[in-house]
Order: sequence, then structure tokens, then C-alpha cells
Amino acid sequence: MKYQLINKHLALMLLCNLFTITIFSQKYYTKTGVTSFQASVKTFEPVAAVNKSTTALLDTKTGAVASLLFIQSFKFKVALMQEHFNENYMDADKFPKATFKGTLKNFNYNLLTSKPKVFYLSGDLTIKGKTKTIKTKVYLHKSNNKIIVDSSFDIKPADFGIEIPSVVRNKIAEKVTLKLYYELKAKK
Amino acid sequence: MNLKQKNKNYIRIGILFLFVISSYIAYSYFYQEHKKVAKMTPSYQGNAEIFKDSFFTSTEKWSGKVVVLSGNISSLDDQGLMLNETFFCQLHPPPSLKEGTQLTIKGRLAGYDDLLEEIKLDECVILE
Repeated sequence: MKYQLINKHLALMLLCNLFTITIFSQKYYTKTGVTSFQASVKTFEPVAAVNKSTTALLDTKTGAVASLLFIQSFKFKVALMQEHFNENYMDADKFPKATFKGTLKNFNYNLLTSKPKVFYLSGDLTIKGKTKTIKTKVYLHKSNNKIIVDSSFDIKPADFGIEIPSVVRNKIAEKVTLKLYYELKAKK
Repeated sequence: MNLKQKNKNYIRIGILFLFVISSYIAYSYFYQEHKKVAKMTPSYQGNAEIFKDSFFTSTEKWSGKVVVLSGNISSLDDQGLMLNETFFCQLHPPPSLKEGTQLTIKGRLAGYDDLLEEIKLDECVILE
């Protein structure tokens, strides 16, 4: 009788422990994800920028993904280009952020290893107040208790109402290549 | 060398000179320097807790603005630190920084991160 009680207690404690572990490791995130783009055809100075302050969240239970970045955090090599990007192309005062909400299809944390594995990501990308559905491949792997997210896909500025003046039209590509590199750590 | 030829030479040198000057101006206009947070005049200077209120009354107004904030380090890692559990300051903190100590930073406000419910400063320098 006494042993049974102890066993019950132990089982309960174990259950509680497991429960808290799953709760605590459910979300992985970063505040300093790297999002970059390359928009140039061959010119004298490449039209490219890097944002090293992207927030990304992954729910490892459901595969739900949410991310957010501030347009003004994109850094260009040429300061003037950065200014034009914010003021003329992106209207950053009016639309300060770009967001993404989606899901990793068939995501399972246990499938992750130190070797990159392909998952399919689909969801809504909102830039400059306009939303478009995106489907892309994402490579995920584990490294030092972090989940590394790596992806690259093309978007069309025209889909998001980003107008490119005719003067520079032949210098900016119709398709812009976005690259993502996020190191997600467990949320406490 | 006759006078006509001499004048022609002057004109040639003048044109060359103008060309050099104008290309220099164009070059320095195109390649002007990035604004450095450390050198910019802050739009706000003071206590982080007090600033929180004015930030939330007009979030848009503050985006891209440089501020100087004093507060308490609530957590930190190699990517940045949290001030008063509300402000995320992106920087590579020196190892001497400790949790729970007072700090004054200067940084550029990126905006409100509604996913993590915090205010993000994307370029920060430590003042004291």
C-alpha cells in the first residue's frame, strides 16, 4: 500500500516534469535574425541590403511560424540608397514593418538533426500593407540546442505595390531574391 | 605658341578641372556616410520607464529616432540586452555587464515588436 502510494507520487512527479519540459520547449525564437535581399541586375553598385534585427518565432508543436522586421533596419552599403529605399520605395514612415505568418508543413521537432532537412513553408507575407501568399522551401537543422532556419525565395516588388521609377527600371530586377538565416533558441 | 592656341589650352584645362570637381561632388553625394548613432543628437533623454509611456502614446512618431535611456538590465546574451523588461537593445555586450545593474544606452528605435511584446532598438551603444 505504502509503496503504491510512493509509486503514484513518483509517476505524478514524472508526469509534471514531462509536462513542464514540453511546455517550455514549445517555442523557439530569435530577435536578431538575418534577412537580406538582392535586387540588382548587374550595375555599378549592387542594390542589396541586410536586416540583422528580424524577429522570428516557431512553435515546435504545431509548426506555426511568425516573423516581423522593421523596414528601417535594412542596411545598405550606400547610405543614399538606404534613404531612397525607406522614403521613396517602401514608404517606411507609413508602413514601418513587414510581417509573415505561416506554417511549416509536416513539421516535427524530432525529425531535426545536425544535417539540413527540407520543409515546406506557406503563409502570408505582408509588405507595405499588401498581403500575398508565399510558398517556399526551408532548410532546418539543429546546432547547439538552436534551430537554424535557412531559406531563399523570390518576390516581385509589383505584388506589394512597390513602384520602380522608369529611370532606374533597368537597374532593378523584376524579381527580388530574399534570403533568411535565423538561429532560433528555446523560449524560457 | 600663338595666343589662340594658348587660349585653347586654358579652356581645355578649365573643362578638365570642372569635370574633376563635378565628378568629385557627384561621388561624395552618392557615397555620403551612414549616420552614426553615437554622433546623432537624441530626441529623448531620460528614464526608460518614463519613456515607455510616451512611446506607447505615439508609436509611429518614434520609429527611427535616436534616444538615450537609463534603466535596469533585466537580461542579456551575446546578441543584446533587455532594459526594464521592455526595451531590447541590440549590441554585443562587453563581458563586464551584469544582470540587475543600472545602465544608460544610446540607441535607434526600430519600433514595437508585437510578437515578443517589446520595444526594439536596433543600433545601440553603451554610454555608462
